Amino acid sequence: MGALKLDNVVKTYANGHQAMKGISLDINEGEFLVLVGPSGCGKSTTLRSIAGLESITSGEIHIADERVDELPPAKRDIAMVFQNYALYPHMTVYNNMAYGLKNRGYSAADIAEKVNAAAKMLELTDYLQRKPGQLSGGQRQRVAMGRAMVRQPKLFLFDEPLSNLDASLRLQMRLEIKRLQRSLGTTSVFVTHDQVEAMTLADRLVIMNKGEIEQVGTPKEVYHKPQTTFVAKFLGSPAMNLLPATLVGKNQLKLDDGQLIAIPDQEDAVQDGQRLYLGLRPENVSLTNEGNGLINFVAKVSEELGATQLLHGEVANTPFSLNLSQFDQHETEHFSLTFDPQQIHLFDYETGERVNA
Amino acid sequence: MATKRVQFSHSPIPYLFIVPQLAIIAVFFFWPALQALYLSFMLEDPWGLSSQFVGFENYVELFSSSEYLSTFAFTLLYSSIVTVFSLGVALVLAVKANAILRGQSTYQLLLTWVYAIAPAAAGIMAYFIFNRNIGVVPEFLNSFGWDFRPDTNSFDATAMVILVSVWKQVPVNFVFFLAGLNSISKSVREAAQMDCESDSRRFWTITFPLLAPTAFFLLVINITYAFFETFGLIDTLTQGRPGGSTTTLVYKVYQDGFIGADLGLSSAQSVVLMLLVLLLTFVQFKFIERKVHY
Repeated sequence: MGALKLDNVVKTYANGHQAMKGISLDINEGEFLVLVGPSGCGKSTTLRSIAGLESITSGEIHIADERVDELPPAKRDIAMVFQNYALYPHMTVYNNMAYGLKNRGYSAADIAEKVNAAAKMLELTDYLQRKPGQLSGGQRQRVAMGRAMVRQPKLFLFDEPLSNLDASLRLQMRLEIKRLQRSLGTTSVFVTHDQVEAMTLADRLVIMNKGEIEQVGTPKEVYHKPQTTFVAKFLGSPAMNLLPATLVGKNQLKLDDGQLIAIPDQEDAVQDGQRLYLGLRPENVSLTNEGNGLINFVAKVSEELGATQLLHGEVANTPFSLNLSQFDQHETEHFSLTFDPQQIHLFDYETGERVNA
Repeated sequence: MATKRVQFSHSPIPYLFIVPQLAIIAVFFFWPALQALYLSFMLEDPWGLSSQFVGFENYVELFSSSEYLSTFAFTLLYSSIVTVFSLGVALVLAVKANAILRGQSTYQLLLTWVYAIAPAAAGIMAYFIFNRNIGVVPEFLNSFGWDFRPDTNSFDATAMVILVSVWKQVPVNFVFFLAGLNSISKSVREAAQMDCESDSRRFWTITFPLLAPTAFFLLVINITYAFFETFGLIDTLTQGRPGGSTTTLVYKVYQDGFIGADLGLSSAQSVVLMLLVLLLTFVQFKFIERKVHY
């Protein structure tokens, strides 16, 4: 059995809003799991339910074979890092880290040893006697990490811990969290709405939407094989292009302006005449003048990113973006597009579910 | 060599802006205070027609009077009991009201309501409630075998005055404590929930230290309240009876000055009172504020 298991967890608020509509998850020992989704998708509620800060309406939560959903937060052997750090403002850094240990009856010598070890690891040794108010954002973040670490819990929970930091510090802390988690080997659940953070940190990603899990998988899986149009649009910047189309036979798509596109034979996964979305990632499409599977593209605006350029325009009156490694100014607005047939994503128009392998 | 100082030309306008405030302070505080100081060294006849400088005679008379010393002792005892109980009761109520999930605002409104009652009106109400002939409290206490006679028994009178003073002051403290509790960040409380299982331990290690600035402010306010603002309550409830056993320093200033018409003695008392409050405030800021984390 895994380190953390959620079994059909439902959370309904008093006003009838259902924040979690039957969440089931199985997390392995030492795994770094990231919950990601737009605001209001239930990712924070899920995390807070695991922490015990939020009661659940039905379902079960197990941490390492022990059912915990009826236990108070302090009994669950977990530690949490909050978005605004939630340090105790009246205590020194040392006491902030020692507080949880003191309440669990550790001896002063044990506490000193653990706190000093954590402080050394986080380069906080010089700041142990300071109050949180005298620290910078990055240092507070590290104290919050230290407070979680010293207890050596079964589970770390992170509630958007990097969102209050500026961009460069966020990058640095992201690496630091990953490095720490690897070296401590503690199972972790991390909540974020930032897809870059999610992709870079996760062993496995859980993409949530409206209280339900859309897809669980490694960053590679969810990026290259999104199971729904929601996941396809949520990950990647700019988002995947989705073109409404109708299948003609098993290997041709007819876009809404009548142009036909050849695709690999889909065999039994689809039916002739089925309405689909054709999904193409901006970086998997290139400009061309000839070749198979041409798509007519009307260019509108370009954006320079340095390494690459974004070119925004329309295909069959649907917005369409390209991410090109090289693009020079052209006089014409009309281009043809080509794509690698292996890199296409087909979704059912009605359900949004992936239909191709 | 003298260093040359750079002088900026000042506009008089800022001073004009603070003149009204300073004038109010001067007229209503400094002038009466100086007047009291002056009068405390004088012996004046009741009609204010003649006065004579007597040096410290008023003060000597004051501190050799056993009546004044017992009033002094009563005031200290009364003030500390009122402060401790009105802070303590308000803190318990605020913590409990803050933990209620349903109907929280109703509880808060009901608990705050008493705040709106003027001290004299509260005194009149309490007078009826505690009246031996028509009041409900004496009847209630009598049923326990306590022969409650606030008009003749000084212990009963003291208990009554303390009870009413605390009742009147609790809502003020309650409002401030509740605001203080609400200003403690939710995530700090949640972090403490994960670090500490025991509710009471969490209260004393996290909540209370974070409430300390509020509590310190209220301590200063409550001592001032017990010293000065309870005048209206005492005047309507007991007028210092029985036998001056519920007379506070402020009430005695009024009795000696305005009823006894001994302006010199009364002024000496206000000067003593002023010094006492000054000392208390100094002690509070010097020794207690240090322990408060803002």
